[in-house]
Amino acid sequence: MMTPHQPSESSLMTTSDASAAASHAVPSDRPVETFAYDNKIVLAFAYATILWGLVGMLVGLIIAIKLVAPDFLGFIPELSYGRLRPLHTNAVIFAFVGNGIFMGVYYSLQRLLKTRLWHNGLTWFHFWGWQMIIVSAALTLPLGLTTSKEYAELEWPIDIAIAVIWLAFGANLIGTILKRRERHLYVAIWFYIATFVTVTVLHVVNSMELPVGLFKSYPVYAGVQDALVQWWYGHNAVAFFLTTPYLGLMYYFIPKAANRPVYSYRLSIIHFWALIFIYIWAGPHHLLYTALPDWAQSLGTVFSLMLIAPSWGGMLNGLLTLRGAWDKVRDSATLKFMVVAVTAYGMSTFEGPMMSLKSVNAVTHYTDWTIAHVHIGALGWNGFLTFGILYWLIPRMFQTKLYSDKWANAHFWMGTLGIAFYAIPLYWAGFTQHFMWKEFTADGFLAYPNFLETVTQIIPMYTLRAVGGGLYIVGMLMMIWNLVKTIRAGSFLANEEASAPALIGPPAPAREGENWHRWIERRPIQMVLASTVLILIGGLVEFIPTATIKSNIPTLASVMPYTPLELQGRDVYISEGCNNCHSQMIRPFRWETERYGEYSKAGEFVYDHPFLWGSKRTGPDLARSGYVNGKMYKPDSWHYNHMYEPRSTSPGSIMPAYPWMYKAGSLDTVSTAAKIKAMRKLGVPYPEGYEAIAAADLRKQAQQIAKGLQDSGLEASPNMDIIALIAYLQRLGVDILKDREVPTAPAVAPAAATAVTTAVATPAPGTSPETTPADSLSAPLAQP
Amino acid sequence: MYKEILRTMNTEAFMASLALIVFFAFFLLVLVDVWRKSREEVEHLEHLPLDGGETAPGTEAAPSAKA
Repeated sequence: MMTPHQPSESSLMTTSDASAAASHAVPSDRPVETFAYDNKIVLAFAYATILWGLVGMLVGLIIAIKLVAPDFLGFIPELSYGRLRPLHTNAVIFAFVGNGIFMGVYYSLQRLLKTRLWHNGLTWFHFWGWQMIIVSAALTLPLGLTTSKEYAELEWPIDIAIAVIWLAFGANLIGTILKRRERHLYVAIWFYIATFVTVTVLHVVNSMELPVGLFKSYPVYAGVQDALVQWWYGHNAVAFFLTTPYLGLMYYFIPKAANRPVYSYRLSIIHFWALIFIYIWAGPHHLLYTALPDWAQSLGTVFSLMLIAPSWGGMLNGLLTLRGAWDKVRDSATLKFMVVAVTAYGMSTFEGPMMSLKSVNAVTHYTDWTIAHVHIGALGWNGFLTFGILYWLIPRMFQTKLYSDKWANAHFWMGTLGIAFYAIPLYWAGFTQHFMWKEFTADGFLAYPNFLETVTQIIPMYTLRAVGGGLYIVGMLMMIWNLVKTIRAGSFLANEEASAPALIGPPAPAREGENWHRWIERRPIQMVLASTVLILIGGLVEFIPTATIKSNIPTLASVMPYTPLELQGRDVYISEGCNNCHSQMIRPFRWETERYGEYSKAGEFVYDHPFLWGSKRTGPDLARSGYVNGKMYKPDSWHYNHMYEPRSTSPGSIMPAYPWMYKAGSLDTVSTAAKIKAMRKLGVPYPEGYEAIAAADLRKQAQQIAKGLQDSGLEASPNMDIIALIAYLQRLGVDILKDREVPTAPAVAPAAATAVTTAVATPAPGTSPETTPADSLSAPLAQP
Repeated sequence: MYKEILRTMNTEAFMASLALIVFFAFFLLVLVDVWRKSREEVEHLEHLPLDGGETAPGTEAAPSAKA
């Protein structure tokens, strides 16, 4: 074992070699201090990791089952798919991985810096604050209190709490670094610093929202800008919450578990800086072939491709640490988990860049391939590394051996099988979806014009995927049992004694010939600032043009704000999480425009706070569902029946039913004025004072729709939520096609042509006087 | 010639190019620094996780437990 090294404070050294050699000497003027590492907080976070991991994965299993058995758990609104899916993602990312991060960071940070955590009060404030945030997520998301933005669904009061607790974590992190006894910051600590800094920036920028109620807000961004900010955030949540902290943990726990240093420390420095700079730009790869400006899409592609290098630098460093020691992996479940975790990281970080190529993305986007990709990373990289760390850490903190190595190994195989059963069926499903969506008959028509046909084909794959998730959970239960037995057999070491020489005085001034990186390794504040600057560059380059340069989002004169009823319907859509299964973004492919209609233009979304482009098509795209002459159009009565019981209009559909939208009085008319005011503040051109009559307009439009439904023989009343949702759906995609009529016969003479078009059964949108609201918005309403 | 490029380039391209140049210069400095690190210094850094100053037992790699 190496003796403690302390850098020399002498200013007589003039060459980097000499100063490095001198750094190994232990100066006699440095008193050796004894202190103790805090293990209690590590154990608390470990318990939280395990608990929330199980909860998050169970929610995942529930929604996986709902996809094959949509009436599973019945008509309980709080457990409906659209509400539970964000609970699953938030739980596994922030509750499972989040607590895992803190567990690993607080353990390794203390030992790498040879100091106890800076502030005990702050430490426990951090712990309990984080758990309360998780509980508030578990309460609000099933209640439909959501922003709809992926991994940022939590509403504004919780966003504030997240900021406070996250800053507490950062203060604790930096405070501990400042009172360290080891001068040099090991690479893991840079990853922790970069994580803290970047997540702060991401969270603050993406959470800029204007509250309209206690748990309701609208983002300050709209349409294309909102999409870009969201996916700059979303991809960097992957980068700086799911990747960089875990890379830091990898750099600590793999050497610890294998008892050997990392393969190449030099490589770790290079790939760290490359990773944190390049990752930021990759966000637009979630928006390829959408209405995002082309230059931004290209940046996303190029930087995602470049990202292979630093990501694989990390993977290689992790795996090659075990060169010459692979026999240890054979006997150690911990190392098995860690090796597969790093391998899964390598696979994901190759697959991701491949999916960022536009040609590949044209195949994968909106399909289950994306879900498979996510879970290789989540189950393989994050899950397995967490398990490996837990198996190593718990016996250590309880001063005993792991209860059963055999069960740990069995868990490893169970989990690996689970990942395989999860991902492989979904790859199959993804391909199936793509090829069915794009296939044409010899006559030039879609071979599968009914989207539902492409859903029923992949139900068996969904079933297998639920099995895979189930296996993964069984493995986790095995781990819990094993760790409980271990804990019972051991005795907890709450405060682990340690000793190290004190660090006296400020860092030595830069010596002659010393390079800048050694300088910055001893100066954590400068490290924080440099990382911040670097990660800001990508965001600024991508964001400033869309915010300031008008040519990036061409204005479309015919695009108008939503009516108050449509706005309320949009909020129902958001609340029920419809965007989890339905996209609203038609790509410029013939097989897409044949199925859904005219492809989506940037200018159509200027009033969309938030954007609702979606990222998955479990159900069809809805971008033009309101266009009467379009392929996706359905009359109001169809929507009324479909939402009440989807299988009544679409046999074999896996969409959940929404009977609670039909309760009399469910339509909210109280918040209408506040919503109009908020939207106007955000730049939507509602006339001044419109909020005074908005609720009346809402009721008038609702009455018209309800009357139309009643005339079709349905028991609709104008105070039902479903009325608002129908109004919203019938507005989608209409504005730019308002004046377009589809001739049913070749045009002859103008008079005859007019006669032909007026004989068409469906009226042109927006022309029937009794359905146009008598207000200044003049938004067209399509009526059957 | 560079004047021609700057004249015809739009704002996004300029910002992106500038960012790339800045980062690339930074990255070259990182490479130079890493190249110049001494072996002793690298050894010191890479052994930091293996020497946490703990005086309590059980700091070796996980031994295999009996099933």
